[in-house]
Amino acid sequence: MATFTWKLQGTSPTTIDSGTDVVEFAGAGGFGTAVTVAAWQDTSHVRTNPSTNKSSGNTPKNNKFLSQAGGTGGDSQVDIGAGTVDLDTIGTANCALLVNFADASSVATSSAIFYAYDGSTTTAVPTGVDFRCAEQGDANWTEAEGSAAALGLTDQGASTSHDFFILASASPTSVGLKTAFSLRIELTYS
Amino acid sequence: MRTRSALWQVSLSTGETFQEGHFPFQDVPGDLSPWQRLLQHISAAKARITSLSLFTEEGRTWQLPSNGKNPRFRAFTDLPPPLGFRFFRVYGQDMNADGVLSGEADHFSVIAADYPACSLQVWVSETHPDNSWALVCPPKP
Repeated sequence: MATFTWKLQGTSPTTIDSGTDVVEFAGAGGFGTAVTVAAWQDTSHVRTNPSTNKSSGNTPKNNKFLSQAGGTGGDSQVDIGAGTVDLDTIGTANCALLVNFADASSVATSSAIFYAYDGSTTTAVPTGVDFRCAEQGDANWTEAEGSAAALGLTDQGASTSHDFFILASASPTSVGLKTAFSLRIELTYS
Repeated sequence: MRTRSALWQVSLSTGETFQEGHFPFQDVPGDLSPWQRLLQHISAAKARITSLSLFTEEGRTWQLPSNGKNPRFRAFTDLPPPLGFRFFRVYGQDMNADGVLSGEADHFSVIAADYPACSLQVWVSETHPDNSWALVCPPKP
C-alpha cells in the first residue's frame, strides 16, 4: 500500500496528519499571528483544526524567501532563522517540509512534482498568496503556482521509503485568511 | 493481502506471460516491486515486451495495441507497432485549508505504449477501477 506522510521538521518532526492538520505560515509573533501583506512568513507551524498548535514543542523549522537571485552567482537567498544564506547551502535537516512516500515493495520514483494551487483547479494559482519552494540542494526558488509551474523533484531509485526535502515560503498579497491555497505532491512509481 | 486493484500483465518475446500478483511476481514486502523484478527478468532473458495490459481480479481488462505477430484485424496490421511499453503508478496528495487529504482518490495504475511521435497511455483508478482514461501524450524523452 502506497502512502504519503507529510512532516514539518524541527528538533523533532511534527507529522501533519491526514484530515486534521495543516501547515500554518505565520508572522514573527509565532503561531496564530498574521503575516504582513507582501512580507514572507517568519514562522511555520502545524495547526490541528481548528486552532491547536501541534508543533509547539518541536521548534519547527522555517524557510523564509529573501531573494530570487541575490546570492552568490545568482543563487536565491533564504533565512532559516540565522540571517541571510544562499538557498543551496541548506541541508536536509533545515528544510521545513519533509514528504515521505512509502510502499511495501521497493519501488523507484520519477517525475515527482510539488506545487501550490487554489484548491479547486490544479492549474490555477493560489488566491491571494505568493508561493515559492525548492528541493534541498536547489540554487533557486521555484514560483510553483499552478501545476504548469510545479517544482520538479529528483527521481529516486528503488526503495521502500523515499524522502523529499522541500523548502517552502508564502506571502499574502491581500489581507485575510487564505483558504484558496493548497499544496500538492504528485509522483509516479513502479 | 491484496493491496493493488489494477494489475499489469505482460507477454514477452520469449513466449512467456506474467501477471502481477501471481507467481513469480507477487508483491513481497521489502523486496523489489513486481515490475522491477520483471524488468530484471527481461534484461537477463534478453527479452522484450510484446503486449501489456491491466486487469482486475474481477475480470476487467484494459489492453494496449500489441507488438504481436498475428493481429486479427487490418486496423491493427496497418498500424506501426509500439516501440516499447511501460507501466507505472501515479499517486497524488493535497494539503488544503482542511488538512492533508487522503490520496486514495488520486491513485492510478498506468500502462503506456510508446511511439515515435506520441505515447498512448491508459489510466485506471486504483480506488474505483471502473473509471479509466486514455491519454495521448508527447513522446517519452
